[in-house]
Amino acid sequence: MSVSESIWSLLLNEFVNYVVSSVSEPSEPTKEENNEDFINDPEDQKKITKAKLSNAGYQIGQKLADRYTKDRSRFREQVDIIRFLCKDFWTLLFGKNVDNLKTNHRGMWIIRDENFRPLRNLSFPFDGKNLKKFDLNENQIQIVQRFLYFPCGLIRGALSALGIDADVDVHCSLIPACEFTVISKESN
Amino acid sequence: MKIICVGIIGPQNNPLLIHTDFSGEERKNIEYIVYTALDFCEEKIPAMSGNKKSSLFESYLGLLFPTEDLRVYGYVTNTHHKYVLVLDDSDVKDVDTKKFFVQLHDIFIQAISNPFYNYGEKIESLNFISNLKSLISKS
Amino acid sequence: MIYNLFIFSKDNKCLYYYEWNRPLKADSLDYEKENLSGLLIAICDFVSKISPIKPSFFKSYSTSSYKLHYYESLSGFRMAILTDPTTGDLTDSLEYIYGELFTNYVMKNPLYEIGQEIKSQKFIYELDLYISKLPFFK
Repeated sequence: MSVSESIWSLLLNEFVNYVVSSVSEPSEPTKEENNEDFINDPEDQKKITKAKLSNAGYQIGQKLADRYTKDRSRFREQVDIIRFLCKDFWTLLFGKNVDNLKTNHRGMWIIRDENFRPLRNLSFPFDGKNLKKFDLNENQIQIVQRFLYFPCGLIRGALSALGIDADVDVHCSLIPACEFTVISKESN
Repeated sequence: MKIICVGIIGPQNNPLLIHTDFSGEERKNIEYIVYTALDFCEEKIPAMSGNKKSSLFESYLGLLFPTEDLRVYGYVTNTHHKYVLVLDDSDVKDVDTKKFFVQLHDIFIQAISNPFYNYGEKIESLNFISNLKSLISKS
Repeated sequence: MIYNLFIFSKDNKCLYYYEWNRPLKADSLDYEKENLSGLLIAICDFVSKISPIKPSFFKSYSTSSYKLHYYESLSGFRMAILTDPTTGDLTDSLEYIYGELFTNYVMKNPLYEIGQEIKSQKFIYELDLYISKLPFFK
């Protein structure tokens, strides 16, 4: 059973916008005494946004791991799990294999995707200078990050369910390319 | 084949579901058998980057151990969930038990896809139990 | 020769305007943006009413010095491209601009709010690239 790509990417975008706005604006009018509860600090807002999106992805990633590994034989080594992540899992979720994988053979992997699906349609307003230059400034990178927390969670959840407990971080400086860093908690 | 008990154990060896028609003392005995089966599962599951024999990396673990009048079969998934099947018959083909496990895996995936199910918790979905019952009655 | 392009929303707001070649500059671009959409709606309506064979949709009009090609999506977005009078039917191009470029880089852009002016760099870039590669561009 497959899902329309448009629906998936539109839903994901709205989900991110929803979480961001729910964190920065209170849903109910707060009383005067309760004002301290309202999260005002942008740093905290960012952390909570990241946590909410990442955790949602984590839950789903765990369940997807079961679903997508059902009909295959069991993984022999960690390498097999990573290969599954970069080929089968990536293709099922993002429509293609990863473009580059680097490892230090001690529990750290760097995964690069030159055309990451959630970022394909993302574009900032033209600043009037160079039409061909798509580099991002600091502010823009922060905004793009929001759309990458959920995929991070997906990867973290899938790896966790398959037996690799890892931290997953992501960085993007030129859409739609981005780089995921997976660091196994067992490594030094 | 006559199915006495179906057990689903999570990655941390926590029981997610033990389904059997027995109760009381007999149920306790059967649960004990399921937990014993886990030890045999561990033996059969090679550690990561261990043996390279292809037969050891199938999900289906086969007959774990026979007791006087029961036969216990095992199956392990890629996500380290273990399924234990306790049977009464002595005349059962591997093909049938394997088929049962594969179908169990299917309905298990449906059960965990429930958005109200938190990964790692006990499975209490009535839908799953009824799917399991109909699977048992078909086998 | 392609002169310029307008994109209008359902409520007659001009979302996008781009000029490739326009020797005779507009007296007031705002006037054009405000009124072209209204004119096109009136033409569409009238044209289908007097059609000798139904159904009928407005596609283009020609004057002595330019031809305006029109495209309307099912969701109410309207596009007008002005070219020289010898240019043929541009339906395929307009469908591509709407279906591929507009849908992907504007509607599916998470940073775009519906009803806003279109400023997305990717859309501007890809549209410019596509138009400049058309055989009748120059």
